[in-house]
Amino acid sequence: MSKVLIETKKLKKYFKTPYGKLHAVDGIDLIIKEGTTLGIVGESGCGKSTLARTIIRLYKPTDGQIIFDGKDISKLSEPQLKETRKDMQMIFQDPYSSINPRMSVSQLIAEPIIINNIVQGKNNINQKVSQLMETVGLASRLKNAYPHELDGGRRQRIGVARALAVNPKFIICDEPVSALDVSIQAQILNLLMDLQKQFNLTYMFITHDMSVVKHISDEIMVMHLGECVEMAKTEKIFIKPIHPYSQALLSSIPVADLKMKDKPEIVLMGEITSPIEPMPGCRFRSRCQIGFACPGLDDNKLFEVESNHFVSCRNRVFNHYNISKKRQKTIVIRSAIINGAVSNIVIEGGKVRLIVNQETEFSKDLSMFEYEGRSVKYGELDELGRVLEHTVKSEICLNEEANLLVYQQNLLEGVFIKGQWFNSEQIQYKSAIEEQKKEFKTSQYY
Amino acid sequence: MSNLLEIKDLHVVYKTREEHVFALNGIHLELQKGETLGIVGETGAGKTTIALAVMQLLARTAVITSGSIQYDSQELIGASQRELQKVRGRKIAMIFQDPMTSLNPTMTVGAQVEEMVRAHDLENLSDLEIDKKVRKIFKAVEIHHRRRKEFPHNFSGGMKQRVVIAMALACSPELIIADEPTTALDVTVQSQVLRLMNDLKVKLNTSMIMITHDLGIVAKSCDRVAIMYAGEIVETGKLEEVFDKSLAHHPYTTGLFKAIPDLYSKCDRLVPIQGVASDPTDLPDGCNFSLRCNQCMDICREVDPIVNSYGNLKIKCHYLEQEYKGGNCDEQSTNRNKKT
Repeated sequence: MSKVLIETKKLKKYFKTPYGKLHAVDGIDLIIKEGTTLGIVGESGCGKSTLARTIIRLYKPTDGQIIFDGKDISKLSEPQLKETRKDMQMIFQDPYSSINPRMSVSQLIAEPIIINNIVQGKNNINQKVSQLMETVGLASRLKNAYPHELDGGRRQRIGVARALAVNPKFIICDEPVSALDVSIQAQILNLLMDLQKQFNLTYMFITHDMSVVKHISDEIMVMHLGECVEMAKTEKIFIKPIHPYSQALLSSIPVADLKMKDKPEIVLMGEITSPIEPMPGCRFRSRCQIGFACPGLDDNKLFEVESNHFVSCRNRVFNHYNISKKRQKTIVIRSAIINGAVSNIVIEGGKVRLIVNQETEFSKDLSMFEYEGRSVKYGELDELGRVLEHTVKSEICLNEEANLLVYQQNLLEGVFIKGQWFNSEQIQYKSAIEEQKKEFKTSQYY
Repeated sequence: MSNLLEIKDLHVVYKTREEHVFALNGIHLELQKGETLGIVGETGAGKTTIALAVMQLLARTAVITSGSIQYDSQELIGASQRELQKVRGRKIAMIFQDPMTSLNPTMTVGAQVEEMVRAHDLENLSDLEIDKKVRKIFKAVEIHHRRRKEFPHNFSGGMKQRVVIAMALACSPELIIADEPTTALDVTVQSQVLRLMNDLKVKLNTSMIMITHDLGIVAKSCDRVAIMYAGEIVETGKLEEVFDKSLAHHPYTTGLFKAIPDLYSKCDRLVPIQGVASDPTDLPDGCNFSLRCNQCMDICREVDPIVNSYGNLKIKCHYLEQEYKGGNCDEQSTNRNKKT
């Protein structure tokens, strides 16, 4: 597995407005592995570009962490950032306004080389510029041309060359092809994919065009009003989107194929909730088909329904696990780490259900449940063999070290540590656990 | 059925001191009643120029060098302003691309729609009747009439486009020209607006010219398609036939379809159309597409191809002519002196 290049933890960016705080990016967790592409889709105003600019630290994050190449860059000062910024570059949307019209092509490409002192000496710089122009497919005769002489596709190639000039590891492409015609768009997409292979680049690709994002991304994150509503591998999200917003988004793409003309289309009604001081809970409710009858109104956390497929809609998660409507009202779902794998825990009335992901080897945990003589049984397994049930009147919290803590009436009952159950009497370090308990109550979601 | 709109051999040149831009080079178009025609092409292909020519709203630099535009057997080129005023809005309405700039920011949306109704009011309606009519129009585009008192900046992009559609519909025109009506909108909002336009079109039995660069939108809402390249229509036909990959097509049409990433099948590499769009100030001899065409032959660089029928498709291409000799020659577009 390739290493993680960039990671954000609960990243937040709020803007001050006269009416209150605008939640542009609200608690985004994402991981991009080296050499892969994360596509970010969502409608205009959902915070895609703000997220990109916050990650690259053009904005100071309000809260949360950005870990780039193992280093937290969220609190670095401007001079400290300069070094890091060499590794992260951005390609902007509009090739007409993002490059200086008074500079020639070679000056434009040389600018980042000179500023960041990549190579010294006029000859070396010239050589590097020629090399870059060749890489991005600009003919060398255009060296002294000015941007207005070039068409959109070529201008965007300049943008790509400028980004590549400092040998970055990570490039954010902010709608790089939406200002271009389809025939030119395909050229730029091919170029970006070739460069990725050649230099092992990592991309974060922002777009509102789903067919483009499908073509280029390994993983896709669907954003809605500053939040991630669904994140999964590209194939998964296109075959079976789970969140109602992703479904609507996917179904409303016009497809240039008449066979698809009659595909069912979900037309969203209603208007978008304001991102200024939004109400807690699900922000999609005003446009959702389920509407205010949804049981998940107060809960908009991400659940992992399948391995690496995160969805924030509680209702859809319930449906995914075939939980009836009546029961949905009394249920609490939490995602947590059990034995090193992320799982969902469903707490329903007095019963605790563990929904373990397919990939998790859970047989050991199971036997532990029974072995300890507690009233823990194999529950009815669902058709995939993933649902276990046991009867503990308790609330469950988790952390990585002690896999599973079970509370009853606010008292600690016991702890699972590495798959082994310890009663509260057996635990020597009670006070430490009590402290942990407080902490866990606030961090229910990993 | 008779043709509602007929454009014949239309040439438009933008003349400036430095250069002549050959925007339209012999356009032939017919539109029947109740039909939706999609015009597809790249930036600078001349799509909007067609729309503006039909509305007779071309900029002062534009010169119509030849051709005719007949609407309901009435010649629009050379018609007086007074005559045009009767056609614009009442018979042909236009929806512009950018809803953010086509509304007046200092007037409430209700007042703007009302203005439109009053301007084209032939029956001397009373204030009450006009109010009723405005309310009806707002209902038709699914905006609550209470929002009439609001200003454009209170509306989202999709809602603004609805207001623009409301204004276009105000006088129940027979033909709507929609110039990229949803390009500035998000996909989810786009599908709302397209659905609304389709519903209204069916309800009012209006014809429509849909100008777009998105083949997906064409597939969704058009009956007939015209593919434009560098001021010429290179291919026209019924939607089903233009989108049928088993039929022979103009190399540009084929290229366009290949350049779109497919949502439903995995492809590793896109096939772009090589080169860049032809410069309308300096069009090549022969076929305008010859510089980018992968089927280009010697004859393409010298002689301008003529429009031939292949089945129901009308295609302007030398390659197809050679490949399928059975095509019936269509004389209408020969002998054109392009760069006059």
